[in-house]
Amino acid sequence: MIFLENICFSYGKEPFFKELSLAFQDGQLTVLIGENGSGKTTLLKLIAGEEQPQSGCVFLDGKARKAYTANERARALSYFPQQRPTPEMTALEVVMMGRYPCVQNRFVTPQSERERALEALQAVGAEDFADRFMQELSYGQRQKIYLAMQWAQDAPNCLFDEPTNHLDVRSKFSLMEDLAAMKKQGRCLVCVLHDLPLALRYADRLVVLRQGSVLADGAPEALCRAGIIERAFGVRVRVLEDGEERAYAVLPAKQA
Amino acid sequence: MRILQRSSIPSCSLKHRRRLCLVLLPILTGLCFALALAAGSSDVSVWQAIKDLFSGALTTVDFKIVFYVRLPRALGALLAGSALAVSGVVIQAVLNNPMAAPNIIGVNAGAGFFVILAMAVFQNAIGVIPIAAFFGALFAALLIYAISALTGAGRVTITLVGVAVSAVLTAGINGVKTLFPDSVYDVSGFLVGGLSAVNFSSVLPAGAMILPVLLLCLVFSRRLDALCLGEEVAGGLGVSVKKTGLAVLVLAALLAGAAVSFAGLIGFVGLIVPHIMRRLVGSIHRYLIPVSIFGAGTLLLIADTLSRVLFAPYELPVGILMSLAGGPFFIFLILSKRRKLP
Repeated sequence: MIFLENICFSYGKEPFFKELSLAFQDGQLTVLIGENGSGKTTLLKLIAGEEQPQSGCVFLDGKARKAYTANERARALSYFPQQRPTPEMTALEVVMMGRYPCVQNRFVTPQSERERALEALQAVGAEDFADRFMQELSYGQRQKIYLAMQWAQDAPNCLFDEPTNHLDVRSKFSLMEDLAAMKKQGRCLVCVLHDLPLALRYADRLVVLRQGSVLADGAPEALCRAGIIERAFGVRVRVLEDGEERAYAVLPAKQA
Repeated sequence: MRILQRSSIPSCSLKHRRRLCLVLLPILTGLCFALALAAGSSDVSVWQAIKDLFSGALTTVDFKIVFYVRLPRALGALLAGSALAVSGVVIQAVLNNPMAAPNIIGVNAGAGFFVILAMAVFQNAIGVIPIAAFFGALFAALLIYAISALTGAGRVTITLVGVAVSAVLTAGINGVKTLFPDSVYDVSGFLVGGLSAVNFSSVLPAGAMILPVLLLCLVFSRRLDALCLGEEVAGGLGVSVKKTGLAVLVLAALLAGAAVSFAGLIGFVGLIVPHIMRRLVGSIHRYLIPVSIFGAGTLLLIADTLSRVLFAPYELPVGILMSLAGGPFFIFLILSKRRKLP
């Protein structure tokens, strides 16, 4: 569980987050949405410790983030940033890096850790890439590998910053299904998405941000029903149903 | 959709390639070391020199040439090569920049500038040179790191900043050389980089510095692996990015400074070797560092032997040979990395 208490943060003189308090529950996928510059990535960075709040506190599983050692924090929280370099490593080696916080002997990797990494690759359906170099993989395949790394890290709280960017439709759905599987393990997932239909379909809870404030917070259906999404983004949202499946279509607002 | 194809050797798996490199490269280094002792402008016998050593005939020509000229020089090639290559490996990991190398981003030029300055200020104080080389290398490395950390600049920008820092420091070297011609004389060999003046008294202290630092770099290997995933990911894995970056940059400066102190400004070893070795064994540093040590040692032993025998009895400084090979390699690197750079 992640809890932000009275967070104040500014990039310059002007305060951006003013006494922001939010809680993210275990076993839930919370999606942060909002226009560019609304503070989604900054919020993730504040939780991850990449940015420090001027005041307020971030709690991970009931304990202040500052009270954790770097290694303890890595066991409690994993972070999937927006951009990463592509290392000259095989997919399996990258996933094994996820075990870094848990491995005592960092020079020789035990077989059990290798198996944990392989399990993580299997969990995201990327076991066929295990021995391939990251440079040989497509962008979508690489995203899967980084997701497997987070899976292997086994932290109960996971942050994702736009993990579906630049992915084709099939890869997007596949990655979101993987997140849903992680959620079923009881992890607390917080994800930034720009893709509204994807966010509406997969999120258990949506937090709509605007210029550092929480504009709305609730279940996707409730926010849609209340017309909050439509007003926040200036769009029309339509629900599509196919048996038990439910999806959302986002259309441009009608011109007045 | 494949973005880039890797020019790997498909018939040989990565695991086998690593094993082969870890076994074959030390053997190759040993052979090149023996060749460096045997080859040269004078026709002497290594075997005879060894027999002289055991029979106590320590004044024969064979013994003197092999043990007092060629042996320290071969050791110097081995040590300078491995130090510069591992310095390159470490700098590339910390700056997350495959084109960063001690000579490209000004680490060597920093060491050179401080050495020349020390020669001008403390005339005939030979003992000051290694210290000056270390602090010069550290100054340049920290300057680039600070710019990188403070501005969050991309890889290309950092490389260009490094090139600019290198140009400024090189101008400093030439300035001191021009202003203090009497104090700083006969430095052309130092500036080009060469091993002709190497002897036990210069190579042994540097070796005493280089060997433990190489081991320390190996200790940091897992953290260097994490840094290759980017600062944010490394931080998320529990790596203290700033502390690790600073610590390994100090190690890189110690290595580059120690190498420059006796071998001068040999260029491109720190660029060429890590790249070739990374192609062979990947970026996992517990493999990359040992193979770079032996790969660079082998490269510099071969280059130095060639520099002695190609135009015998005249000698080409090994730095010239390295630049002749390294320049085209750098161009190749820029062209092959063009699609990957941000």
